[in-house]
Amino acid sequence: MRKILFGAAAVLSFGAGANAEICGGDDVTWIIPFGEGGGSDKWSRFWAPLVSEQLGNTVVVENMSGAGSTKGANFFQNEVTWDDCTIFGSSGSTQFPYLLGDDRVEYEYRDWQVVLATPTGGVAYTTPELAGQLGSVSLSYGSQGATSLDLVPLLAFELLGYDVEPIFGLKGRSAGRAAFLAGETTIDYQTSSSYLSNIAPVVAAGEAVALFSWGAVDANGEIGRDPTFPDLPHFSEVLAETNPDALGSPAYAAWKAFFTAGFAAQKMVFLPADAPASDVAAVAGAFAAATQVDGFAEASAARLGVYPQGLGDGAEVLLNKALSVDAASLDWVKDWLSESFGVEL
Amino acid sequence: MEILGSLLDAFSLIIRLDVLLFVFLGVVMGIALGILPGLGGIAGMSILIVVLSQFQADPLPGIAMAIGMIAVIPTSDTFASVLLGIPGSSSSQATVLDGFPLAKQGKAAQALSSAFTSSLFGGILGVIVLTLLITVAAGIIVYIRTPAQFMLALFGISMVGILSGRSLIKGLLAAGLGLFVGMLGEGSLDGFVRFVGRGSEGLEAVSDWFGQVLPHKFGANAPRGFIEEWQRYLRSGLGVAMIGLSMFAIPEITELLRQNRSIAGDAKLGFGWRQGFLDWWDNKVLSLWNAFIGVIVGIVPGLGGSVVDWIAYGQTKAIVAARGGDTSSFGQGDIRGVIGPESANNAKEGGGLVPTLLLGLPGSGSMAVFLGILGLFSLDAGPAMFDTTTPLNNFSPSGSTIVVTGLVVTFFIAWTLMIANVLGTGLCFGLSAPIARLTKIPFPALAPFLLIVIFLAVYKISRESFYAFFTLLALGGLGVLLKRFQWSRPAFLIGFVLSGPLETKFNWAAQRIARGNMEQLAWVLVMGIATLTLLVVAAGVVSALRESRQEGQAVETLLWRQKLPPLLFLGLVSVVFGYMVFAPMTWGKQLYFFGSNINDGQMPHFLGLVFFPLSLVACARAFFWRGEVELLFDEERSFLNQGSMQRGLATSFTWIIAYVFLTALFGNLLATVLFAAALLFKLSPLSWTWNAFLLFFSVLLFIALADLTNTRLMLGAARHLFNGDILWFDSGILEALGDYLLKPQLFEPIGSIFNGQSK
Repeated sequence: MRKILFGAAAVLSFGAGANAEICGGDDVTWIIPFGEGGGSDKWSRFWAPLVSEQLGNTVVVENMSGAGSTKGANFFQNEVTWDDCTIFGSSGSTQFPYLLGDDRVEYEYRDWQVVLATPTGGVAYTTPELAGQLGSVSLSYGSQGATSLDLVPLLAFELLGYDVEPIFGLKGRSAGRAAFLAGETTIDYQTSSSYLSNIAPVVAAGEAVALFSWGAVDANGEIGRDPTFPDLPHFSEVLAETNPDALGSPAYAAWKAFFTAGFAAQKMVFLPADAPASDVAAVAGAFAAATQVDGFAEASAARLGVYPQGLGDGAEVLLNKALSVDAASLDWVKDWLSESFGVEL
Repeated sequence: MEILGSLLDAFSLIIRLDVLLFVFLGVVMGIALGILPGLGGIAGMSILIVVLSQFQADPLPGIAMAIGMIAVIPTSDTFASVLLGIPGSSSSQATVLDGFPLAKQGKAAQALSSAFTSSLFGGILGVIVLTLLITVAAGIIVYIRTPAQFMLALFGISMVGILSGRSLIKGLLAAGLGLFVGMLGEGSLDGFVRFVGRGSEGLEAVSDWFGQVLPHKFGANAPRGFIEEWQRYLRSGLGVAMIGLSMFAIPEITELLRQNRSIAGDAKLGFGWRQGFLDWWDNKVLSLWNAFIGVIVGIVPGLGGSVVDWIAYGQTKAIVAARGGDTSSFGQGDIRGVIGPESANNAKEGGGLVPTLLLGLPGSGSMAVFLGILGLFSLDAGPAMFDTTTPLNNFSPSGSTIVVTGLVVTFFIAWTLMIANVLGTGLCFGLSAPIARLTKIPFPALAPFLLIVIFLAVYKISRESFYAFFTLLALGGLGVLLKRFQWSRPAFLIGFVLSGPLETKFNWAAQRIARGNMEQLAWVLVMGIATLTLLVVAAGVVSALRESRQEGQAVETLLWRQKLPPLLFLGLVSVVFGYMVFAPMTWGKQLYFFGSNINDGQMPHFLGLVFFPLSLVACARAFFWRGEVELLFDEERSFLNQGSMQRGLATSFTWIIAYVFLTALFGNLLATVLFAAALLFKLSPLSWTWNAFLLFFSVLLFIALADLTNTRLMLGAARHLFNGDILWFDSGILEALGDYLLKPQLFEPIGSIFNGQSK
């Protein structure tokens, strides 16, 4: 028995590095506030082994889904100190309830210490049968909730004049994707990392049709085509074609403000407030070093999309972008949420 | 063709050297779990969850290890059944009937040989049926829509409740308790903290009173702080490993600590290895029939586990009788009585994987934990396991050309099960002599090792929180009571696992139905399954009534004193369900609103509305009805009659409580030394030198495990109590000791051996 347990125990030790600088070599827990298999999950599981290698500590991803990601974020805010050796991966769906003052939010982004910010995009898609008649049929969309990142697609669909029935309470975009693939919903979108690995093959097989990407914001704040999907029109292009008047509406202004906040720094990595500067630097350094490893650019393009990673001060810049939405857009969106979905904020 | 391609891809994955190594490791661990008492498959897999979190970069070897463990237990548990006359696990009880008499006749080897061959045959047949069903199901599974999945989850829970125990009502209530525990903490719909939130004035008053009574060194706020911290711990919900260990490890260990029995007297293997195989060959049709029964029993949720062997035993006798054979030798060492159950109990694992993988409905406790293991690697049972287009990135090892999709993983599981069966049978044959010797270890000598592993596992999976121990203690206490009054613990575990899916699927279904947006096919399926549920419930009720009427005739008259413990427990359960009904009414949620999104209060409230009346009926029945047997069942009465226990239940459980309190006072390391020493020298019947030797090794094991799992140990509260006055309790000294023992990575060389082989 002892021998057996020893064997089992010995197995555990790989990856536990000798050159670890932080947490006395303990594992680093990386909380992802979404279910398995979604964009954030894919993103964290892409990074975790790379960072483990650089950091010396094993980074273990832990999914803590629920309540549109506010459950995991509240946990990180309230229960985690650096003694727990735990970091947090946030997403646009964590940002929006925070920006909108959702009463589930107990967390404060300004308390945390950012080490990485990844911009991303997203692609909307539908079934081959419905692709030609989008304005005229009733569509269904599996959503985490109206105040999550799904605000962007829901508002976009409305601007385009699609008749979309949302079904709320899903545990992440992966559940939305599963529902689409099972034929339970008829329109969906995935963020880039998840689209590339999960939906692109389905589109290639002719079982789904890509409609448009959300686009990408350049340095001047203008939206252009997403570099990861250069052949796909972006949403504003499509809107300009179908309903050019809408581009000047407050609804579109609000969409643009929330899209910029939600996608320019869609995924971020934070250390808790009490982590010392040296440890923050060590973790940030590990992320930066991971990007210098041979083959990173190709692997990251294939799995996360072609986006510049915000490292060091760059992460801080993107974080500020993510937390600033003009008051007019904020008010407009709150009214819209209340009218369309009965969500009072 | 895609399906065939996936099957072949999966085969090329299984023949990787590291995968085979980990199947082997899983098989070896499974053999140990099957032979040694105290930990069964469910507890073993719960501990494995801790290990498996390290496999995220390449999960296939981890899954292979888990399957290796599941596959071999029905084979290896035969040792205990045949050699000792004690069932090694719940599914080999019937093997004892003829296996043990054979061993007494000196033919243990013959019985084992037949049993292993039957196990192998049944196991492989189970895999073949599993593979065929996967192939067929891959096309159909996508038509099972969310409303139907909700009904299926409900159906699964009802089935498990009805079938997994002897009493229908107790089974359902046990599943209900599991659902309740699954809903503790932050809800998944709007993040509300359910049942363990702040604002419980009663609790505060009690803890403040304790604060006044306790030595003031701790401070008057300490108890209140303790409760609040514990609630904080519970906020994020509990994991399946915690439930598995508290339901299936703590009660077993508690019971074994009550007896001084060394496990075996003198187990001799005897002769007849060749004869055993020939016996199986002569009865191959019997074996085939029973293997099919095993597969089918495995597929039906809730039936598996403890009844499969009895069904097979009954069938074997019936077949022999139908052929005009003589059944009088059964029970006195008839080899057919070994072949029948052993062919069936291993075949059920393949069958059990069918609802688990296809529908996310675990039919048994070990399948429930296996579902948790799949979740660890981002795998969601159901349609995703049959997908052939989407590659799973975290499953594709670098440099491999194989595209791993959901279906490839599913077939990988089937292949692994096959290989593990062959490997396990081979090892059982080859190592039977040393394994037979293992059965002689007295349990108290083993107990420190088991408890050390369990405590460390629970601590590690709970982000190294000290409150994990108290949770283990509380739920373990519940597990002990469930065992004592024979409430189905698998039903509890499955209720726990399904509580999340039940809620999210209900949320989806309610929204769609409220908007009249239901597809025809889904309706048909929902209605079909709903009808089936009702039928099964009805059938269960009828059979339960019949049973109780029959048993009612031979009721022993119980004194009130004897009825009191089960009645109190029933009352407690009713209070819990009452809390489930009424607490959500104070959460400020609209409980009777459907349409856009259900909230965190609704599901507990509705489940409470189902289970609270049910528990009241049970109470009334137990209280007033003279013929009641099952609801008033109390294991202690039969133990008392047999005189089989040397120590009381409370005394034995106190040992486990003591470990927790020692840890609270002195930290994990010192507590482990003290606890292991006390347990060994007080309870173990071995000589002083042996005990000293075991103590040394248990402490070494603790340090090695803590080191290898990168676990940070905690310091106890005693250092506050003594303010460093007493040198030994000074935290600096303890820390220095911990540093000395843990930092140099004492066991790195062993790790690197495995490291080299696995990469």
